[in-house]
Amino acid sequence: MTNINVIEAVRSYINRMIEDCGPTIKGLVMDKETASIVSMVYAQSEILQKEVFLFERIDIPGQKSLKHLSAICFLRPTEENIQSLVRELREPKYGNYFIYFTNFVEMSDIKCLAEADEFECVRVVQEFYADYLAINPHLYSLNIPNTYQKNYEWNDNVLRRTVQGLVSLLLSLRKKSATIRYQKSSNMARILADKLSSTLKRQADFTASNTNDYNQTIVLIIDRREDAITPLLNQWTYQAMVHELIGIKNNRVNLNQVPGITKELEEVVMNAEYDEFYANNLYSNFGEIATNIKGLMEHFQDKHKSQSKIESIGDMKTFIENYPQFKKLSGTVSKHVTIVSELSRLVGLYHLLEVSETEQHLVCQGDHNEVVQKIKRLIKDDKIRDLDILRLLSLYALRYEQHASNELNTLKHDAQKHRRLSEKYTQYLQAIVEYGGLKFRQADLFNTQTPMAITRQFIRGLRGVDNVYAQHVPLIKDLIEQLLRGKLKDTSYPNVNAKDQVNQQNLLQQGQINKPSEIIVYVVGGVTYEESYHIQMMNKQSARILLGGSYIHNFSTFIDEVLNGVSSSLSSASNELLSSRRR
Amino acid sequence: MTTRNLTSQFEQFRNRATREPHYLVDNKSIGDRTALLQSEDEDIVHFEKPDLPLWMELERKIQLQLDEVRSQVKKLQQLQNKYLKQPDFDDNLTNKNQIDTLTNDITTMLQECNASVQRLALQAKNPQKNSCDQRLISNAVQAAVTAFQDITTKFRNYQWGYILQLKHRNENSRQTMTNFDINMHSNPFTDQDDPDIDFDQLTLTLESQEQVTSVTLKFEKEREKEIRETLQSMNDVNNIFNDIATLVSSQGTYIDQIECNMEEAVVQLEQGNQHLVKAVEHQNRLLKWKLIFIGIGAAVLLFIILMSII
Repeated sequence: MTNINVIEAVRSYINRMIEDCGPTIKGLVMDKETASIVSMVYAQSEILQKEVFLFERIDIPGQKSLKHLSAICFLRPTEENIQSLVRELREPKYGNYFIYFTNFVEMSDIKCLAEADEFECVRVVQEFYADYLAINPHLYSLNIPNTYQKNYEWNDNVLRRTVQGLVSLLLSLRKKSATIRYQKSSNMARILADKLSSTLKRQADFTASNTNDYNQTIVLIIDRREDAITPLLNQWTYQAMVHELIGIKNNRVNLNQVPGITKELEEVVMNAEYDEFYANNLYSNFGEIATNIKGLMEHFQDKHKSQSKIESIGDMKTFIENYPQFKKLSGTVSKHVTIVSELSRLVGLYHLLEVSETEQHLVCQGDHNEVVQKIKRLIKDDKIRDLDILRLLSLYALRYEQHASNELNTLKHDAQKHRRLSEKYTQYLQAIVEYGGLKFRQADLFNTQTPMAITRQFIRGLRGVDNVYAQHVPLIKDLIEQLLRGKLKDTSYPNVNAKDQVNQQNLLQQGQINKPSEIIVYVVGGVTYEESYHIQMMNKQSARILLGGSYIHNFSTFIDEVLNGVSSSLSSASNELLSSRRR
Repeated sequence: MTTRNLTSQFEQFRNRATREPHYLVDNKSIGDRTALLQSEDEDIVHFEKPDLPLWMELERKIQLQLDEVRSQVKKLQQLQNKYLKQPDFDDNLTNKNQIDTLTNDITTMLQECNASVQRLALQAKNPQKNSCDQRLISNAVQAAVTAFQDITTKFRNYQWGYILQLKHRNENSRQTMTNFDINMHSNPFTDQDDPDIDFDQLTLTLESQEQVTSVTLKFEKEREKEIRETLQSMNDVNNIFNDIATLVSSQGTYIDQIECNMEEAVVQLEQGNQHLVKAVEHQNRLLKWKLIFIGIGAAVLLFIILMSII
């Protein structure tokens, strides 16, 4: 079996759709979510080559009859989509319809569609399980920005969407069943795991279940609240950095905040599948990128020189020969140069190196007094953004939650005095402790609780660190390593089917060693590109891990997420506080 | 890649659905209903048939042409390889002729293709089409141009490689020839002991040399001719290429993502609608003014008439 690759999985679905449709001119009808799903893995120019010339949204009515075109409808099986499709079929605009749903469709919905299809123009109705965004070969997301509802409960819609997404992920990778393990301390993880396993079981009725899958694939469901630190840190690898400082949304980067930006670079697409330089540098750190981009520039200048010297007919010929490649190259060069220079501008402007060093120090070492002094100094520094102060304060709050001389309040007071933090931020500072504080957390995030961890920390300290800005290692890596070694505790990460477990153990005793070959991680509440980077490094060493979550967070989206989950008592308290202050 | 096919279920449902209304409607007037449906069907046919638009035919044609070019180029490459791998002094006129005709064919085909692409591009600019159609056609143009560019680049690369190799071999052969000459010249003077053989060799070499030089000359001429011909074809292709480059640049910079373009299209649509609304308002206002003017004119006329009567 080849490596598991979500991008390939989605692409092969789309290829199948286009092939099934035959050699006619095609229009692709999508809804909002499937449009993102498709455009994550297929560039427009590439899909145009396959005679797909029209792209439409089902929820936005087009105006004209296109009887000579075939429609490929790639839709999520939601109620609105079914309704729109029924309306469309009653007055068909296209000649033929090839309908593909991303997930299980109710038979009643099929019946509705069949009754609406009076002109008999539907050719195919199929389920193609591509119900998630494939970002990198090992990284997927369900694009749900806010998972948590009040009091950290599931919202029914979101829960359904999550289960659908995970089921489709498993099916698209040809997994019929899997061992599901979840974080016991999280209520949400448990509910999701139960729901997922029952859905898989129901679905197993019509597809033959494969016991091998069950043994080999593990779905590990964890809650972001277990590790609230990773989204708080500043990042220094290319992809993560761009996301943290500028923001990547469905592979698009909006650059219109950049001073002196030209019109054509206001929005750029960063897709590792089509951009070699980006693909090679996704995980290189800021210093490496600078060198690499210099190399790219030099290469470009060489090309440019040979291009600009046109004296003979021969030169002209070579020029025209290389012109398309040249143009493409110049596009990539200007894009990456713009982005990297913007990154370095931001780093310089906001003293991010200093901030990041303090962050890492705070997380990985922990000399309390020194840290407090540093934070106090940074609070007084005008150059530092409020956002970065907020990072430091929340890290401090989590790190020294139960420290004897906790100075969080004085720090907050200082921050309030020197810079008027907005209401949202003060509210967030209260919420973060509830979100990821000790009351919820089990894992030893800062390596301070068990003697083992302390010694490990000590040894690490003796060995010295390679990179001051990348000392922090996310919890997920630790968990997965334990899982790979078969040492992840059943008490804190139990299996869903406890009864099946017994059977499983019988099987094991008969001589099989249960070593998972594939691990699929789902993080309720979103993942970060830092985690993606660490998983990628593990995959390089022949592990097979897929990472995914409800969203790819950076700090500012994470703030929103945290505020969303605030328990009602806390938010009302802070509201009162605010209103009293207003008075 | 797991899938589930629901087509058969769907068709069952559909069949049942089409059958059931029959029973329901049977009691009522069948003739009415059937006639109505038929006329509707005919309507659609009438509307569609002449509507099968020009651009689609063009697109089809371009697609076919490109396919053909692709296969021809492949053939050409094979032939060229074969030709280049053959030993030097083999007269392989048939092979060469084939290459020549093939090259010419491809060039003319590319020219035709270019013409169709240009026509398609013209269609896209046709102001009579609505925005939806224009988008469709410009997408088609984009696709055609990219495919076309690909194939021409490939073709030119092959040709260029072929010419380079030919030149290379020409020089090589010339070099070996001169080496050969020198050997022949130097040989007799070193062996001065046997004048007889010397003489013999000298005459021999002279004869053979003459022969050889004539052969090489002929060969070189042929090569030159070949190179010139290939260059000619490349020049033609270059012209086409320039045309396309302008087409591509006239398409403007665009972001290569489906979602992005869809959003843009929606924005355009909204803008278009706004413009339309504005235009309608404008027209209404114009109409109002017109009416007022006409009214005033009529009043004046009446007044004049009245005055004249009085």
